Amino acid sequence: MSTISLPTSCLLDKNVVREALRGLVRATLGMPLPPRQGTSLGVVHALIAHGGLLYITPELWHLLERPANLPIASPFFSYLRVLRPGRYLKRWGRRLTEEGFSHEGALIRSYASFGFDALERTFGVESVLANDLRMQDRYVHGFPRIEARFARMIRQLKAPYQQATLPDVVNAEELWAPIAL
Amino acid sequence: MRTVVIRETGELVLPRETLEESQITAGTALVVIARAGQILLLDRAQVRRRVEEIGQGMQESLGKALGQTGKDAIFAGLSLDEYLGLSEEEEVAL
Repeated sequence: MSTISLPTSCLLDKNVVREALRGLVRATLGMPLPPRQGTSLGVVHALIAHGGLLYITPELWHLLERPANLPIASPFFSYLRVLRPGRYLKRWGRRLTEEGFSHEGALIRSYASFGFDALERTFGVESVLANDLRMQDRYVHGFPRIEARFARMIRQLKAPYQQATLPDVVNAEELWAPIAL
Repeated sequence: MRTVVIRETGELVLPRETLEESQITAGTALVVIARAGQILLLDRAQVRRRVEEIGQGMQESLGKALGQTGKDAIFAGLSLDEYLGLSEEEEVAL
């Protein structure tokens, strides 16, 4: 017997949500899906089916719940959870900005380490799912330095934040390979 | 109801009857879903069905939402045709 391992908790970047939503509209209308939309939507469906917890940031949640966006966004809502800003979120976000990430890129990665799930009473997620390959490349190449800086920071934090972790950053294509049934 | 005991190594041996009833054979890849203190084992066909059901559920939900709101303003004030016609750059800017 072998097992299939997928992230059990995943923070969705807004570009993945955008592509998945657009894919859902096309699928609902019976239209063909461009590859990235199909992959993003398929990965979201599969992660839900595999029991994964899917998170978005409060900023994205507020955007999606605007009345003007609600018709398209509403089918996703029951499957999404919101990560709340936890302690040290801003501090780690600032440090990631110093590592060359945009404000938005730093914020989502900081949510992945210090965002708080009020229902589960946990913080952080296993993976960030993003289709921004340039940002992913920056994260992977800078990882040794980022990891060392993260370790230095969390050593000084109060419990339980000393157990904070850095997420894997994956794109939809990478996750699609093991998911594809 | 049958009871099994997890070994020190984390291994779980399922009773032969359980395997026969669930038509799981040696070498079958299983998806392990752990949530809220429960563990669910699904084979690929079952996961595939779950994926399809989730997709269908979302499409039905969106179909209803579009039916209720019409196709004049479905996202950011855009009509359905305008929304589908957005380039990636335009949508990012939106």
